[in-house]
Order: sequence, then structure tokens, then C-alpha cells
Amino acid sequence: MYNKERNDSIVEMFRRGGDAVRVFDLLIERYSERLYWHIRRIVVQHEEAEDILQDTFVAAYTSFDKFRGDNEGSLTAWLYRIATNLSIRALRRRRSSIFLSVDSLRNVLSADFESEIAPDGDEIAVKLQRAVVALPIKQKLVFNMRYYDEMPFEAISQVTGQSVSTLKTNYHYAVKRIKEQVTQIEL
Amino acid sequence: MSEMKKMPYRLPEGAMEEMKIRSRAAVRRADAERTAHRQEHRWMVSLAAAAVCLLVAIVGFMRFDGDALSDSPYYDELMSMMDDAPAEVIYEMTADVVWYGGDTNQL
Repeated sequence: MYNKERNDSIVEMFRRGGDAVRVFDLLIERYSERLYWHIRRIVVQHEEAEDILQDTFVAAYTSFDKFRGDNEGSLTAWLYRIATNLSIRALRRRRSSIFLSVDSLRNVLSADFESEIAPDGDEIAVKLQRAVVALPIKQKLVFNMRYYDEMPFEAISQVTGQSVSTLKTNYHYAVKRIKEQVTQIEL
Repeated sequence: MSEMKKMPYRLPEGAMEEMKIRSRAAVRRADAERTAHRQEHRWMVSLAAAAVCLLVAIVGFMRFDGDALSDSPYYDELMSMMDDAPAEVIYEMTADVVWYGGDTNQL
């Protein structure tokens, strides 16, 4: 999933200037699917994920001049950071009280997931995702990006702003929790 | 790039392409708003620059005008000469300055 060379060529296109809208068409074509699933795994509901995906590209477009390429991390990490922040912001809006953490929504998200399961969904994938949805947000983020998007911990660190060692610890606890629930799946 | 792992979520048919279209449209809207904002900004900057130029011109003119009337050393010298001069000299000086085109006997 994670590919630095392809991203660098898009960054070069931006550096050369030209039609930014056309370059964003290319970006949307390449990133929509993976960003959508990244967002969906956080917010669960399709309609909300759809809106956040759109907002992610608009936010990226309006702040692309702030992107410093290799100095601030890869384009993928930057887009994931925007998508992650917008997704967490959406979850915060769904809390019943501002004093509650995003993790207080785990039961709500689990209930949402049950209504969002595809009729022809793979049973093992459903069990795995059910366990992932119930994880605390920090563990969920690192697990999703590492397992589903196959991103290196260094890139995940650029997305979340956490140290690699913290991410590895969170990933370890996430895997442990998931294994407890889905013992028949080898991760 | 490896194969994307299968996700067990419900997704309407054609939703991914629809999302791409919506995202492209949203970026174009953002671009149009940005362009309009830039043009508005340019117009405001031009207006502010014109106002500053006008202000500088007015202040410059007023200073020049004031200098000519009161701050000139020639003006002060002339005033002191006028104060000390006898009446016939004042008449001479005035006659030099104000040209009268008609018959002076008529004055």
C-alpha cells in the first residue's frame, strides 16, 4: 500500500507549478479508495466517511502550499494525517459530552458496525473488524495503518505525531486484544 | 503496491466512483472560491494603494502650497521690508508687482 516513489512524482508535479486542479484529479484517483477505507474504519458509517473524504481533499487543496515534501514527510502521511484529524473531529462531535473522550463512543461504533456489515461479508473479516472497531482510538489507528495499509511505523509516526516506540507498544496491545477476541485468525 | 485487504462493510454499488466525482467537484469549488478571494484581495490592495497615493499627493500639495506662502525666506524678507519701508516705496513695489493695464491717471 505504501509507495514513496509514486508520491514523489506527484509532489514534483506540484513543485513545477501548473494546473493544481488537474494534479488533484490525479491525487483523488490514486488516494480515494485507501483514504476512504482509512476513514471508514474510524467513523464506521458510509455517509460520514464520504463527507470526510471530500473534506480531506478540499483541506489538502487549500493548504497544499504548507506541504514541504520530504522535509515534513511524504504525501501519503500528510493526506492520512488530514483524514485522521477530520475523522477524529467527526467522532468528537458525536460525543454526548465534551468531557468524554472519543473512546466513550466504542459501544456506539460497535453498534453502527453491526448495521454496516455487508451481506456477503467474509466471516473472518467481520470478526476481525468487529474486534478492531472496539479498540481504543490510539490502538485502532496504529493497527489500521500497520495491518490494513501496511505503512511502516516511521510513516505512521508522521501521521499521528507519536514516537515509533509508542506506536509499537500500542500495536502490540491492539494485536493482543484482537487475538483475545479472534483467536482463530493468525495476524 | 499490495492488494487491498477486503473490508466487510456495506458499500453501495458505484459509490467509489461517485465519491471521486464528488471530491473532484469539491476541489473545483474550492479552487473557484480561492480564485475569487484572490481577485477580491487584489482589488482591495489596489484600492488601498490608490488611497495612499492620493493621500500622499494631497499632503505633498498642501506642504508645497504652505511653503510657497509662509515658509519661504523670500516671503519673510519681503514682509520685513514692507514693514520698514516708507509709503512711497511701498507704492513703487506694489506698482512693480501689480501691473495695471489701463491709464494710471484714472486711478
